[in-house]
Amino acid sequence: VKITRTIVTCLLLALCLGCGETGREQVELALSATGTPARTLEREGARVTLTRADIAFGPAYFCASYSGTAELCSVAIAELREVVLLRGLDPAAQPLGVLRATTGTIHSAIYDYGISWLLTQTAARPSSVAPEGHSAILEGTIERAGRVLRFRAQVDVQPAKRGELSVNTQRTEHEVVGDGEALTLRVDPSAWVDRLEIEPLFALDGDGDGLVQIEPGTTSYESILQGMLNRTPVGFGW
Amino acid sequence: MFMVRLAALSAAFIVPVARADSSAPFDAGLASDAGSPADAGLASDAALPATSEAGRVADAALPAASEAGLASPDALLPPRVLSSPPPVYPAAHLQHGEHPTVVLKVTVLADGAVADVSIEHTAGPDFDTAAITAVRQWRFAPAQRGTQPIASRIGIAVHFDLPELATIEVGSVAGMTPVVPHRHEEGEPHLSDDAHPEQPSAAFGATALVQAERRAEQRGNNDYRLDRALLEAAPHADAAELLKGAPGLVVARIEGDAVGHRLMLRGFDADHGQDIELTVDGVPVNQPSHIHGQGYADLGFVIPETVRSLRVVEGVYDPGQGDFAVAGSADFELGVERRGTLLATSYGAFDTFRELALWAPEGQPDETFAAVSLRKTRGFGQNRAATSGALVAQGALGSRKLRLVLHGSAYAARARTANVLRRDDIESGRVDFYDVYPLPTAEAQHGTSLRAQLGAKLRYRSDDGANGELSLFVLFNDFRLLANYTGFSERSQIEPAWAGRGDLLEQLNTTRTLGLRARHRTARYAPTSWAHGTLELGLSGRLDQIAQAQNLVQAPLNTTWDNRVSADVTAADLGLYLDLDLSLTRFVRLKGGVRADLLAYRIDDALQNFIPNYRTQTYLPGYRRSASGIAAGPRVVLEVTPWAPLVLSAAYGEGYRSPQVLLLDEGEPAPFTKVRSADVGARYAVGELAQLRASAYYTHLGQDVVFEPSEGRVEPAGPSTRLGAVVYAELRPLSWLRGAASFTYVRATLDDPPPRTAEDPSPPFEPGQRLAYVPPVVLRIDASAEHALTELRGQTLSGRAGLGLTYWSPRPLPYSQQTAAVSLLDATLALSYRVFQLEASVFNLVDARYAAMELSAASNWDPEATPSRLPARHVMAGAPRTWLLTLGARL
Repeated sequence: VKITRTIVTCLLLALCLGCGETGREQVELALSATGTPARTLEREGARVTLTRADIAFGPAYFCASYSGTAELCSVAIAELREVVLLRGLDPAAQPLGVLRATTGTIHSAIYDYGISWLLTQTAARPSSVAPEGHSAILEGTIERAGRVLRFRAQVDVQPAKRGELSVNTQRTEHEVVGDGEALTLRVDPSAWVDRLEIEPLFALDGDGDGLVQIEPGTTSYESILQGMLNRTPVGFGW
Repeated sequence: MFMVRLAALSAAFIVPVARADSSAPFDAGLASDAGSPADAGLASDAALPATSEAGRVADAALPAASEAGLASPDALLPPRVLSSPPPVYPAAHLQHGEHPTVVLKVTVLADGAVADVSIEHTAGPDFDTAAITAVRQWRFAPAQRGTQPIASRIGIAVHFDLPELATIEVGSVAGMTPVVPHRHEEGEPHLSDDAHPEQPSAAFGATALVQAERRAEQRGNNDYRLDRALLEAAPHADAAELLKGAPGLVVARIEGDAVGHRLMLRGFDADHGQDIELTVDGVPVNQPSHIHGQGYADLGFVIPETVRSLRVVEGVYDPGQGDFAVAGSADFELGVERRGTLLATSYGAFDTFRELALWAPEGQPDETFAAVSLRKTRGFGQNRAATSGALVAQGALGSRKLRLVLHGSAYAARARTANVLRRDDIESGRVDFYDVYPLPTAEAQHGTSLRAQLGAKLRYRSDDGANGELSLFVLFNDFRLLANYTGFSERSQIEPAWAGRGDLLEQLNTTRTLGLRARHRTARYAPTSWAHGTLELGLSGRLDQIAQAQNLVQAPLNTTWDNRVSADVTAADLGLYLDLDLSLTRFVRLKGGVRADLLAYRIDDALQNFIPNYRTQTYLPGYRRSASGIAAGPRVVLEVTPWAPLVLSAAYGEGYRSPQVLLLDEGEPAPFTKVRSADVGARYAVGELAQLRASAYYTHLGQDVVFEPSEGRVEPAGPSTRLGAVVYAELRPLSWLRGAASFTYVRATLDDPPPRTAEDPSPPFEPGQRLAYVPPVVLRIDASAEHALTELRGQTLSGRAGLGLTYWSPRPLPYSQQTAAVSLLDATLALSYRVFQLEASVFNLVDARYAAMELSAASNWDPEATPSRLPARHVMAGAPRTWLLTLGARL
């Protein structure tokens, strides 16, 4: 019996030693988003206020590389493969599910605004989650000299190249160490409309119904794009 | 290398001789003569030393007998050996270092033939059979009464000794001189040199030639020789599966029947052979710098029925071990012991057909045979159909002193492969475990393998025991594999706009090899009474010309949309070693020496320095370079025998693995990976009943490699360390029941994986982590029982049952994952009657659903979906329960 016990103990010990550390771990992080309440911006003597900001976000990859091009982020630390809809003006926490990850250090992020151009696709396509098939729908008002102009922008943020993502490198630093962590996406859509060109927008209101569409190719449209891509992109709160 | 000695002969003469040429009267005469006063001679036994040297001593000691024999016309003269083909040392016992004596009693008929062989003193079934088989072929000058030939009954003690070579040619045994007759009483022990060390004994260098010229066996405690009986215990789908019997060796075929098996040993993920030196009759199978994996080896060309024995050396302790002997080495010895013609046809699950024709002409050495095997299968699951054929012919020519063995073989195989499936796709029901992705890029996966070999081996042995061999070989290997490991993740490097066409990697590799191996072992040198030994000088050389390419192709038309590798390589490996086998008293034995290999490479890498189309071209693509270096190190085994059944051993050795040359830089001085290996252990023999071994080992590898799915080949992973233990038992509780069991444990860790780089900012491995994919615990049990069942119409109906059980403990995977444990049971039942044999084999009897291999990588197998860039588990399915029915006829 003693010998048997010894053998069994040794075997169990051996089996335990056979297990153990195998490197990085797979974890899940809680994902949520918070918007920023609309604020009124003064520009060219006008008051610009957003009333709606629906934004498609994703897919997103969080990379170990400082430069998050697709080639350097072929293996990510964390990812959100889905496209989620952010209510950009809602400051309340918006649960968005989980972010799948492995332990490791994140240095950058790459992501789309609901329109992706996969390697296997011949053209970029919007996600079904994208609001009305666009990256973002921004609506608001412009008040100037007692006149109120409503504006609407259907923003399409498209990847420049097949297989690339729209936001091709955005620095963010975080070390994923295990389960229980969380990521909060922060957006401030009001900052995207702070460079609208007021006069051309009023000029667009030819029929006088007080509603204008900010069309692609216009300066205002480009300024929104720049806001989403460069000036105040989505923030990451770890 | 070993020696078989005829220790002593004794003879009883049978009279009257008139009946001696008939077995029945002879027997009667023998019986009736037992107490006959007429048989003065019968009452005497003649001790017949088998050598001229022995004869001289006998003459000197016993002159009266000769004189008496010559003086009287009725004087009895004992029989003399004219021809004495030596017995074959049973291969299964070579590893145990046994040197038993079998005492036989035989009748030498009046015509000099041997009849009525019986065992007086057994040394176990294998040795008994070997001795009887040999002695039945002996020819004598019959005993004489005066000038009249008469039948006689003599005793023969056949002594089997390890490991020294024969020192006296068989032919010299003839011409014995009669000595004083000595009556041999029933039950009386016969003379042997153990009992009478002063008695000179005959040494038979001839034994069976193959064995006689083996080099010193038993390199450390983990040197295993699996003979045919053990190899046949469990069913084997192919020759590579014979390796399963070696402790700790994991064998799995994961990429179809045209791609070599994946091997693991002692904590090494040997992939397709990078860490195990595989040879067939000494001819290397591993291919240096193969595009699919360094040291790639495909044993598909070996027809399992032609494998006589398998020697597996775990560790690097033999100076004869060369490139890729990192975890160890395995040599398949070809030979057909059962002579005759075997025709067999098999049919089994998944429409598997196999036809075998094996011709082993009677009276020829085991090495002379020809065999053809053809196989076709639909394969388990989708996309696994395969056809293959192998042909081998070889013959032995010449005398026992100088023998030439010629070998020719050819092999061809083409097989489709399902390759990898994402585990999450299986769990979601998108694909079945045995399916292939319903995509052209997945369904186009297949492999093709072509191989041809010509070789000649010249063996020689001199009278003083010196021996050696020279072998030359020419090899042609051609390999093509279309495999997709990552789905749709690649972009063309030549034309970046081309992307997402499916990552169907086409790997092409053609290797032409010219090689030689030579060795010479000196005669035994004994400077003192307590020390003796031999010294071997060996060399090996091979020159490989390798043409390889790797492309991305788009199914189903196989249009090429990217070139990744296009290289021509010339590789040379010139090895030299010294090997000393030194015995210091009967307690201590030292085996080992030093080996050095010069490795030299010239590489013409056409796609290196590729110029992306966004960069101004200021030079032409291509990178030609060369590198060379010398890998040298000692290998030594010290064995201490405190008392006969127990042998303690300690071993240390340094080996090497040649590089994947595309990773070399210009002038790289040490283009090899070094392994340091140490073993301590003990083995204990309980007679014929059991052989037990236990050992612990440590190995350190300078540069490990891991499989990189995106490239479909292995990439450097930094140094690694292994600490493990092996327990092995071979049992024979009954003469018809035999088994072997092994337990191997290893802790394998990566010491210092490559740091992050700009290209690989998130390497999957961390210092100290467990080596992925390698099972820490491997258990293997083989058992077989063979027995006569009944008599049918005067013929014996015999049966055989065998099983093989394999257990792999959960294997660690990257990212804290691990696989499930795997238990596989294979079994076989066979019936033999007259010339017919019916065999039913079942593989994976319990129908375990298991992944033969798992990978962890990012992939995208849904071209419509947003790809995941997180590493995911991928499986390569192992075969489900598979049966095979074989009907054979031995003609």
